[in-house]
Amino acid sequence: MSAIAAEPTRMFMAFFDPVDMVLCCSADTTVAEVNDRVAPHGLRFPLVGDPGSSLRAHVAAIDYASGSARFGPYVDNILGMNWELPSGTVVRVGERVIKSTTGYDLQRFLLHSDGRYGHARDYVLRLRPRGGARAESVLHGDEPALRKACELLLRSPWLHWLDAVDLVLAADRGPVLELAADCAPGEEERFADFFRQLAGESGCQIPAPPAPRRWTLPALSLKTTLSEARALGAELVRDFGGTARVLVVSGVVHYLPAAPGPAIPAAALTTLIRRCTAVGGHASGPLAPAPTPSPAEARWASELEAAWNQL
Amino acid sequence: MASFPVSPELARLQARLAAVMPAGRLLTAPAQLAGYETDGIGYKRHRPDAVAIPANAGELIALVRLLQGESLPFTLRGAGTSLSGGPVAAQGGLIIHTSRLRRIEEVNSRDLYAVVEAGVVLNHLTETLKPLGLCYPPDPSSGAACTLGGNVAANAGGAHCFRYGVTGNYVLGVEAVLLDGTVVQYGGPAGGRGAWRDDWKRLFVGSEGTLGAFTRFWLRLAPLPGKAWTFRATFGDVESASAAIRGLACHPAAPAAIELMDPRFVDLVEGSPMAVGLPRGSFLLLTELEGPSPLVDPWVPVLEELLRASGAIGVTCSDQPAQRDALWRARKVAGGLMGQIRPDYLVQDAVIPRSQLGAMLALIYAEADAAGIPAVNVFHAGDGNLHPNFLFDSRQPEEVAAVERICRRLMHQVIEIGGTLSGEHGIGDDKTAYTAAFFGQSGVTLQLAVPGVFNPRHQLNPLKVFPERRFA
Repeated sequence: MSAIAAEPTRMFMAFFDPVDMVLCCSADTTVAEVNDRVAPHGLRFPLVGDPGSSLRAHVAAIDYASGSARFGPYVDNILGMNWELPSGTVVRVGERVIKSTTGYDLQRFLLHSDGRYGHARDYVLRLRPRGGARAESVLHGDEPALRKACELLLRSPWLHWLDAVDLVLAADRGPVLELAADCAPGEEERFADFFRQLAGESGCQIPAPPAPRRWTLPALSLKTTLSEARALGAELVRDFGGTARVLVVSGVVHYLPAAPGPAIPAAALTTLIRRCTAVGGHASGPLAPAPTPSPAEARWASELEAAWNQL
Repeated sequence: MASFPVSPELARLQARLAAVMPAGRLLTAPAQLAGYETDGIGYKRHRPDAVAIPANAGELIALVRLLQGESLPFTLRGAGTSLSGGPVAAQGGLIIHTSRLRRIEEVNSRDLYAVVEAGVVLNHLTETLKPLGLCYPPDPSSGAACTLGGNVAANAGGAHCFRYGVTGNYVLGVEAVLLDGTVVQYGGPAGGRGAWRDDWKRLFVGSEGTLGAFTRFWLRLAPLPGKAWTFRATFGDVESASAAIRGLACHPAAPAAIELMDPRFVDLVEGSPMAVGLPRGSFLLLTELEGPSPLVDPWVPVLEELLRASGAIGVTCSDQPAQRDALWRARKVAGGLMGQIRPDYLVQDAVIPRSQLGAMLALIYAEADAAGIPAVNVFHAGDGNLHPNFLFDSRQPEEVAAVERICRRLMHQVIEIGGTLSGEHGIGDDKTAYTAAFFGQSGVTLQLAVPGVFNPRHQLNPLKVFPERRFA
């Protein structure tokens, strides 16, 4: 079925506005392509799970990325979109300005709907200033030391300036806390001073400069409370191997099995997900089974679909 | 208790309402109802048939269940500080005043969230968090009075949301009672979807009280931002002020707030006993840096230079609390001064691409001057969020008509240049006339499907957000 715009003049056209720091591009654009396009203007799109994966794949697989520590989830960095309904009709949803409380927030609702109500064709992205330098550090330590480092960070004004606060847990090596900030040239040393102070106060070490990160989208993303995310990440790696990247500020665990395939038995996965949903969290990503809607939710969804199918 | 004439719909329910609401918390006397006729807009009045003041969430839920399927519309109301005509009884009926749902139930310092009832006053939460080294960043200027229920309903913003985001960015979960009487929790301390398949919470935040009655929220907290510097700069023209705004908005120093006041605003302040010594006829820009001292202190001379290089006439800055308050003083006193010029003022709210600020200001001046309506302008300039204030006398029908004509022209221009109708006040019943032009036919169909699911008869807060939402 070919798509038809319901009101062509209302659709977002591809554009880049460096003054307002917004870019409209295809949902299939990779994050690397976005950043190549906007970097010469001193801008960036800060949420990266895998630079070579599309924006669409990021939104579907993980909701949150390392940069979410400072900038929130993808849905808070996508201002508007052209959305193709299951009927093939394309409608505009959302804005090109950075703040809106006009009508119901369909944009965030649809972005989290895993394709049930259609899919995005284009996104309007909110961009951020590119500082021109990057401060990074990796804290090594045992579990109590890293926990203390996380707890100190969560109470520190520096938290507002860090793109990434990622606790990386792996079966084949010790845990580390990866910290990163986009900053202006010359600021790196101020961040380094803070990272050293944090390491000293928490009993961690900073033995060497960080190795280049291997970017990849996770097989499972669990959203839960901040402390539960750290606990869940440790349990996943202990019980099933692989690697867990805990986004400490977002309360998210990104899990990557050691080998492709169903690394977590179904019953165990169900238990893990229940622990998240019990506190208002959820699971997403390829390993996460689609939740079964309650009768009430199924009714609400079918009423929305029926109304939107009129278009 | 004295009895007062009531509508037939209310009369039919009055005995049952009285059984749910003890004496003194079901108001029907005209003098009592008068206080609920309007919100911050002031001049548009809708008298409710009655006002109920539940003591707790249980009573609120019982009220909604009682009203289910009845012929009486009802509207939730917090402090009534809305500036869009949101919490008023546009079609009569019952106002449910949530002021007694004011418990801060939990502050969880470990997981950085708070659980609050819908009637908690914003500044009460702020003051509770401060000794713990925590903050809840959204900061609408009505913080001393506004409730979190109203903030979530309108997705409120504030000066510092340029850096920290608006209310919706901090809502981890909502609990609400739906019109079928069920109590739902969307999200929770973790801020995800919970056991639901879809992210219903996103539809309820900013829904202006049209989908359900909020009882409590889970709100994300943050550490206090650290040291703060306030900068005050004045500019002789909009071009240089706009250049400064552009420079600040994309600066790696990441200002927390970028506020602009126009020369008419400055002249209003300087012509009053509250004068602070600003050059008459200048634009006033306020911006703030917040963060750890080693990070923000070195940026101070850099930002001073940025402001001067953009064409600032004067630049003053301070990190001392008393002096920072003094720098903000002109901004804070303006509301009271406007009330002294004319009996009424209407604050509009729209967001435009930042590059259009000068052109939009010219339009506002042209329209207001032609109509003889004084207009002063305040912008959350970093967000492109306009707040023109039109001063008038609502007892003069021609002035009301003129203000409404200016607003109509303004809103259509906002739509024309790719802006949006509201950045932080909501649509209420003030701007429903523009939703068709903004959303288009397809957008209206998409949007109206949402209340079609949760509030199909529009019994809850009718005539808000969309004019089609009339309770029948």
